[in-house]
Amino acid sequence: MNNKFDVIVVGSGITGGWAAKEFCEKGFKTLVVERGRNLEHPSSEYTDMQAPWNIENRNKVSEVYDEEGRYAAVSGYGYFKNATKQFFADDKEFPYSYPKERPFKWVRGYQLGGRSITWGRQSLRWGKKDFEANAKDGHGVPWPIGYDDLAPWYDYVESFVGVSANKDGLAVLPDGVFQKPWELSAAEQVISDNLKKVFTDRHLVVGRAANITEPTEEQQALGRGQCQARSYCKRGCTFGAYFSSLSATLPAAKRTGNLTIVTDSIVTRVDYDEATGKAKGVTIIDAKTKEKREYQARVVFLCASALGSVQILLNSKSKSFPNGIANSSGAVGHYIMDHFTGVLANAEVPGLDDKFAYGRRPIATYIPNYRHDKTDDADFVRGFGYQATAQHRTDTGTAAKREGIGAAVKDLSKQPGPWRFRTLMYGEMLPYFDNYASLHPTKKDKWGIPLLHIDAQIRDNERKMIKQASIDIQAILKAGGCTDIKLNETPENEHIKIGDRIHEMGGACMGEDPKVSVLNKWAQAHDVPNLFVTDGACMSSCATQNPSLTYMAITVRSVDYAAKLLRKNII
Amino acid sequence: MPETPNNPGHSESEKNTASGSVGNVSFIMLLGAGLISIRRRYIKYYSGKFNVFCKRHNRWEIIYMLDNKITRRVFLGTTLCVVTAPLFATLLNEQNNLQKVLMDGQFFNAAELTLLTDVAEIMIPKTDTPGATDAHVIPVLDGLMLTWAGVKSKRQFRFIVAQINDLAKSTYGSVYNKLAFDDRFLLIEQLDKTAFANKKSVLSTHYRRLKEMVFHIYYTSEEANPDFILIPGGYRGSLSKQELDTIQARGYL
Repeated sequence: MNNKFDVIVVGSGITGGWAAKEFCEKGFKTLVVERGRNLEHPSSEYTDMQAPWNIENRNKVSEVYDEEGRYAAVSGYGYFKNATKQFFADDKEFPYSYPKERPFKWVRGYQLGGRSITWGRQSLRWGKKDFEANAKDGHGVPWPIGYDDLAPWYDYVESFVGVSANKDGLAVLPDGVFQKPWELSAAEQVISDNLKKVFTDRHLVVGRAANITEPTEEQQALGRGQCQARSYCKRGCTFGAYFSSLSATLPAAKRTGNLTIVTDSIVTRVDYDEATGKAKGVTIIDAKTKEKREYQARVVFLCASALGSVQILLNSKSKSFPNGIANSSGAVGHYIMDHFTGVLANAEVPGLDDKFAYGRRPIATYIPNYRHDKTDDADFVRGFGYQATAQHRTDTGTAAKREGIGAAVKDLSKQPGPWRFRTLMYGEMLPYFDNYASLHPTKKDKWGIPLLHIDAQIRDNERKMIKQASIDIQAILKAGGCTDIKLNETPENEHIKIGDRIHEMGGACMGEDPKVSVLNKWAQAHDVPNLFVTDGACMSSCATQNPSLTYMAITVRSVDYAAKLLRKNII
Repeated sequence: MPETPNNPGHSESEKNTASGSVGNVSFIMLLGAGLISIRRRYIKYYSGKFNVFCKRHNRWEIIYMLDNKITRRVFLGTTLCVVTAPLFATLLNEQNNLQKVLMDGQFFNAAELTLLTDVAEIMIPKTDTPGATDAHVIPVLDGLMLTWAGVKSKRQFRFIVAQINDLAKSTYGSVYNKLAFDDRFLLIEQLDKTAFANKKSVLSTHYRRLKEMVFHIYYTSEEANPDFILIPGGYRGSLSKQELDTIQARGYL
């Protein structure tokens, strides 16, 4: 096999797929290197066509995994079921490290398509204030780009992805190129309407889903169909109705004839050419045979996930970069962030006993951040929003975990209950230099690669946000017309695992100043001009919105720039 | 001379049996090709019906499906779930209204399966909707003990059967399977109350585990989810009951 390409893309997840598509469509011979196994689309590993009684073990994950200490990071979480377990990496096989007193949760998907198979599909633009926050309050490294730099690329990405959303006209959550939105439930509509009567800054809107409701010709040409409201997305979608690398970008790249994919290939390092001052390619270890191979290219795009890319950068040591490639600033691995929660609340929405819902909407609702600007009642900077839902009314449940057997108990089970609105705070974690990832000094995985050690925690600012979010959500629920409010606030002395929201970001942040940042405004390494990092590692702050759409926009913008440099033979 | 499991065949007496003399012999499920071969000494398929060798009567007897509407989908689904699914035949003990399972399962023995089948049906009886037996809860549980349960669960589930028997003996002086239905019902009803009133006892822990699994299997069964629609086709969030029922009946938005 030829080992020379125009471009090497490391990782095939949500950004790797985009980089591959864009480079291939621009005529560049592109190699995608994926550490996990190959998957086709639709895949025999998809389980979306199985009814509950058809799912192996009635969707219960084998207890043997717990006994063997496998999948510890994801065990017990709602998304890790028998129908989805194949799309999650086993941390016993792929270990990482963290301080005992500060567990970190690193959820990974090692297969072609990566975590784009299981992502939440909430596709939210960042607003102007989100990009201005670091410069404004002095935390982290100021962003070298603003909303206007990304806006056309958001448009471009949304058009291809297919985002079903409402144009809400909110500056904090800019509108984009949308397909028909999902509708609010009766209960959600009541709350949304009531909030408008009380607040000017707090809004309940339907989520913006990468699930297509009006397939375009382009989407249909790729074999993608309309979302059928099954909400089994994390099992893979036979219809290709939600956006993933497998259903959308990789097929688009393949049809150009410019794409080569190698799977089961773990990139251990980016190879650096001391003579040219550029990256010359990557070294991989075959995951099965442990054989080493090298691939060469004019440009390397790291799209291996935030922490995956950080691990590769740190492990790419050379004479010029003894602490990892592109790390003259010493910032590689630092400013690790994630969204965090600490407040869950739910409340009854009364007066809707004659209303019902049908189907399974594949997205929740959203209350965007309304606290960008410090107000009198806030003793913290940045802000928070809430992911929320009341898409169906509740039911009376069963007696599985409470007293009661027999016919009478059975007849009272699973009967329609009241509408209840559930909310989950999503806070913006500040970019702390001291939240960092490093290579473990002694521990290695079975391929001989040093484990990534991640030490990150929320601090005072985030704890203060939790307190305020707790107060605010009660006011929001009351204003929304809710009753019987139930609140769960994480105690101050309880560690909140970073990584729990699966939005880990940072580690190779963008910035104007090469002394304090790793990447420039094109997500191009300050130190190595043909090395780009466009996954979550490049983020300089984390805002409160789900970040994948922004990663995608940054990626296509960077590809466009890199392609111009390639054509001009600058890199 | 009647045929035996070692000499399968069909005799005149079998035909007499087919006329209905053993109508209270029932066949729970599951149909797994692998197990059929394992169990073929005891079960055979003849003239469109399953037959079981009854040791008590020393003859082959026809077994009837408890659930007449086992569909191809259920069949495929359950075989996916438990590749070597067990064939459970039961014989109704008319004296105490107990369905006696006639043979061992993959994990539980026949006596254990008899007790569990009865307990599950007491927990979730057949009413105007299917009960635990209709939903094949215990055959599925028996399979899950091999494909899902860890060492601890295997121990717990076996132990709870013994504990219920001990409870029956200490309360009524007899093993569970020999008790009258009313006594069995009262025993499980009281156990349920006690288990949730005092969650710290070992008995409570084991019982609640069993109950949770019985309910999980039942409420994930096709029988318990007649309105389930795999492909809804869309979402509507504000429907009247009549509008909802119309869509449900249509099976698609």
